Amino acid sequence: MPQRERLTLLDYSDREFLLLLEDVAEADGWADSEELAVRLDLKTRRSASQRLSWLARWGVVEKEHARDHTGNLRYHRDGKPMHTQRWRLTDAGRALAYGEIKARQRQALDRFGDEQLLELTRWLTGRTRDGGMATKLALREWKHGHGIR
Amino acid sequence: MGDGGRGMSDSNGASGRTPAELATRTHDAIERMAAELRELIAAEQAGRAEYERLVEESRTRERQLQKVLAGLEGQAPTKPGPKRSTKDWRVSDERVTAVWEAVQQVVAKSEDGTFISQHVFDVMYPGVSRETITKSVNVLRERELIRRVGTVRGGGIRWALMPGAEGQSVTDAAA
Repeated sequence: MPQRERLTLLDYSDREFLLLLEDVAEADGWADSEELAVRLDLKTRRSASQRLSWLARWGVVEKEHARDHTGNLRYHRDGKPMHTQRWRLTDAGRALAYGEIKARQRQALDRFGDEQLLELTRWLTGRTRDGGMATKLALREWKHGHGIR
Repeated sequence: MGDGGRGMSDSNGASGRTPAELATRTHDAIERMAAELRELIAAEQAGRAEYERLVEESRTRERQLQKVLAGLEGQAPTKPGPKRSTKDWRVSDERVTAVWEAVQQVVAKSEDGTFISQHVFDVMYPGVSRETITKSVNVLRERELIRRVGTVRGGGIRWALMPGAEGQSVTDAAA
């Protein structure tokens, strides 16, 4: 199978992607995007880094700061911090990758019938209207689950 | 003794006709009756053909009127739908459960905790098709019991269990 140029949401859900990042992480918890690209059979690390950058915007992954030999942070001339090519999950990302809703919460959801699903969806829409991290990730989860590009 | 043989002549005493003439007349009468019957049969057939033509015309008119009625009532005209593909079927929960059990067996024996659908097929063969395995694996992914972790040479997909999925039932995951 030829190597891929790019990666779509349908290829890997965000949860799958985050768990893969954990799979290739080194002992200190950081994972090189090159390792991730190899695992994903991508031609270059660029596609993996692009998706990691988006996930970083939503706060579920973070990029490692570059440090000098004394351990101090390194900065570009414009004052922005320098980064390595290593990434790791944040607490929010870990919750997304491993999080499970509690049995009691699941049971409550199970009690919703088909006729109440529309109301529940309306509630969910209102709940995720703020445009925050949960909104973006919920919409992406919806798209992945329904095979929407 | 001179006319002793007269009584043995070919003439019929009553009508004065010979047996040969009588046979000919009888034959002619049968022929006439048969001809009349054939005409009656032909007339029945022609009549029935006419009725069949009228019935077919009536059916055509009925179909045309139904179309006009459907148009008036705002119904879309009925067209033959697309042929249902044999790929449209869904795999049953029982089958998915059986595949899920096989997946867990395969993963338990796997060195790196991953599997491909061929491994599951090998465990379950015979009695299951590759398509059933493929569809079941997709259902397991939808229910977040397994996750995609890469590809294999030749185009297959490598899978692993989702964290905490081991021992979960397929129906619980569907909820």
